[in-house]
Amino acid sequence: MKIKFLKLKNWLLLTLMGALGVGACHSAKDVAQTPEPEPETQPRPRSEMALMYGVPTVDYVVKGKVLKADGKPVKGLQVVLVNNNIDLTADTIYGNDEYVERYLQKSSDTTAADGTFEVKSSDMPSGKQRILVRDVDGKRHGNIQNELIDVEFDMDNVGGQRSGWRLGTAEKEMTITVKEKE
Amino acid sequence: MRHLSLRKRVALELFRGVRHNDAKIHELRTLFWECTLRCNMHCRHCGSDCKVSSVTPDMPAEVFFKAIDDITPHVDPHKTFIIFTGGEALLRNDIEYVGLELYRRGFPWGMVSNGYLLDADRLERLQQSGIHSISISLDGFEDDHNWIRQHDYGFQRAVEAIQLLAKAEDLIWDVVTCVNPRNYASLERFIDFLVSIGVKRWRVFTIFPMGRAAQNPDLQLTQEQFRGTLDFIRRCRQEDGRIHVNYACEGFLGDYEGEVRDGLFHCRAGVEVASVLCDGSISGCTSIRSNFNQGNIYHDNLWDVWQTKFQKYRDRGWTRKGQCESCKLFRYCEGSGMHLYDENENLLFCHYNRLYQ
Repeated sequence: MKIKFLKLKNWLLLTLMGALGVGACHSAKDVAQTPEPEPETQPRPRSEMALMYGVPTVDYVVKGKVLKADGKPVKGLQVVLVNNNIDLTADTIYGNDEYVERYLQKSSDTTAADGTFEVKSSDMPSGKQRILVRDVDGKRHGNIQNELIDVEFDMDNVGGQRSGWRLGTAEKEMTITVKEKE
Repeated sequence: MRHLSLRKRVALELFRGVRHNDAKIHELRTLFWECTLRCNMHCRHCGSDCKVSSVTPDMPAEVFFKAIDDITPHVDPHKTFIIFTGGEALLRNDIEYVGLELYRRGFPWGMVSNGYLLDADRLERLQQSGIHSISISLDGFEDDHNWIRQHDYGFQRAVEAIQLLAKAEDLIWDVVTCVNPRNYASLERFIDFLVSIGVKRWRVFTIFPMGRAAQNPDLQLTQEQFRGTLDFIRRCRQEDGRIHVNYACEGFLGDYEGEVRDGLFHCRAGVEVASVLCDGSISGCTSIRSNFNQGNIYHDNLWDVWQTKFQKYRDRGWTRKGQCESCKLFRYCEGSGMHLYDENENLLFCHYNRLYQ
């Protein structure tokens, strides 16, 4: 009885909405005109199906060192973990560069005196990222050529806690060798 | 409340009553079945893998039938729609068998598909098994679609599937498109293309990824592009009678409410929509993961869970916090969609703020 009363209330509310000319998930017109299906007729569901795009993510972590060809560590270089599809080269960002630059800053680190760095990113679980190494301080710690390096993670060994859309953490260690600009 | 006309405010107030009554009634109208996590594509915005998952294999059909038998005595099967999702549902070879069993029980059923495996033979078998509805994903012209799907033939096969559906009888179908920065500029041409291949119903989605991926410029529309997408949909609905366009069901859209989709915003997860996920978890919709699971069909009765749980879905007062705490439009939104909450029950994204702030 309570359910029938609530349904009647909804019918009245929807009819008022219809009078305002505003549709709803059940429109007043549908509520008023959809007959009860005969048992032998084809079932008639709502025509709209709810759908959603969820985006599973993986936390990527890259730890490493940046060295020159002679094995000496390089301090002060910016290291960025970049999604595989951002349109850029080692030296140029294409498209909305201010927007992309803001995005890049969220996953960057600066190499310490011993050349070490750690960068993290939460991104789609393709297993492919890139490391962008940029000399952002001019000649202060050497005049280093920017580098853009492909990184591939072992997605069969994603560790850490899975929770909801977060699928875990993929880690990698690497040593990057950079060159001086000529 | 800026951005809302008086007429809309009154309608939203009335619909607020409808939403609350719907939560009290909680009539189960749609049941998603995540029938597989396998997929034959590697969509950039999705995590499904093309190999058989060793963690979550396909649920046996008989297990799902048991869940259906749990609810059958309590619902009108003719009004309860079962939707197969994945992964890619057509990768299950027993879809026709499952569909026919549902049909015999009186349940209408449908599916979401990327269309790759939907040829004439498969469509005929599906129709003979009583399929009622199908949605095909098509995310722009060939380059754009194949880019996001990461498959060289994805577009071709999806279009072939759509052309088959355009000739099919007794089938409700539509195309769903995910708008992203790559295909945004071609929306005007794309709608003409859809009409040319026989599409009459089109649903448009936008992606709001979680975590840092939310900043990904490949998927994340700028504010201008998001508003442009809604303006485009509004214009199509008002002026273009060739095709019926809807924005997705997610998010409260302020002054766009009532103009870009058939209904006003209402997250029906746990109110009229339930899901059985691949591991048996019972949730609201398949986009809502472990943080809001209500049980598991391997040890719970689906109907009992539907009747006695889902409190957080049906009473959204708990969402009045964080960015919602002082929002003057909370009464029309009540915390947006459940899928937008993280594991700590914090709202990750607000559509209204994205539009107007």
